[in-house]
Amino acid sequence: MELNELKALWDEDAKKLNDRISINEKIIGEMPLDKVVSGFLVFLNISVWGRNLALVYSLISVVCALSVLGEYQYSIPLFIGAAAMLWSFVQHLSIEEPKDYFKISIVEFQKSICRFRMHTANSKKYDTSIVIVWLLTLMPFGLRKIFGIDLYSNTPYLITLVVFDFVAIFLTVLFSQYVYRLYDRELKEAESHLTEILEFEKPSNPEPETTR
Amino acid sequence: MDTTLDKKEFIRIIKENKRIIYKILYSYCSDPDDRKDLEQEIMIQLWQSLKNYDSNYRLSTWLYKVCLNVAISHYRKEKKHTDGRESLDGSIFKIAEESQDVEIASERTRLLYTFIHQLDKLNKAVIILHLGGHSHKETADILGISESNVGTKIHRIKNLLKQNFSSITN
Repeated sequence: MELNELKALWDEDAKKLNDRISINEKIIGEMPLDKVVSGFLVFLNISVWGRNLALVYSLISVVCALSVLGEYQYSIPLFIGAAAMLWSFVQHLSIEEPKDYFKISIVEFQKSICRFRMHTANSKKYDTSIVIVWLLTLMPFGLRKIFGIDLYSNTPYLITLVVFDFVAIFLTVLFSQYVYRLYDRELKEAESHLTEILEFEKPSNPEPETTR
Repeated sequence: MDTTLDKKEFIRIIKENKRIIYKILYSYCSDPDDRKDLEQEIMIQLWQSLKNYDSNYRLSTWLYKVCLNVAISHYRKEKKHTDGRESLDGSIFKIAEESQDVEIASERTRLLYTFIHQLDKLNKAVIILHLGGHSHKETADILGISESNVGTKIHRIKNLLKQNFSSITN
């Protein structure tokens, strides 16, 4: 088959479709078009929110640490938690703010999707661990503030905290092994798609073709 | 602006360009469930980007760009909806049965889409734009690649077509 035959088939199909297709206006009318954010943008929005929340969490830890500055057993873990969250925020600074992606070319848009997917697949590995570290560092301070429990002056409580921390870390490592495999697969897929796009974009071995 | 009026205008645009959307849907999704999902995704994106539609673009060019972008990045089989929306009860596009030459027409249409389905997502976009009557320059602008690259890709698609399909009879 030649390309012009394919074009003839396409036009023939298009001509017939014009009479055959009708639009179900009722479905469009009932679709909550304003209420949903689609596909890529929903993930992008969540990531931007998550990144900004990391900064908020970091500030919370700093404020808490400053309120117990002299009590190093409380303030030092809080500063560690704050630093971890700040690191997470900095790692996510490369996330692009949602914009009108349809004003850029298809290749540019697809590349930004791949890069975003690669970024999230990479950072998901650390994000879960950071949240757990942050919660653990905040816990002694929170228990004292809310329940008046001073973990460091009560040996059984302190032992419970240490055991709890080890269990949490152990479970995180165990869980990570499974989740990392999923993230790695996502990462590989995104990388492979990006390679495909870059290959597509690359001008290679031009062959004679008359432009219309 | 009143939302009801907006939706009327939106439906008018969809009606006027139903062939473009329908052909993109069929070129990218052979599975009816996937197609319904892509249909919904395209509607949402068209609606949302309509607010930012730049009249410097031709409406059809904007429409191709939105639809192709959504179709290329559509991962229905792997992703569940994360935004709480549900699948549509029915399809937006209703297609009537042909009254005559059904078998011949169906066979020819099948041939057309069999070939398109063989191409990867990006080359599908090239051939859809080419068959839709866009010049190499327009195709290059929409895709974001050079004009000569479009020429090369069309030439390769042409060769693939020759290799894989014997001549059809009218």
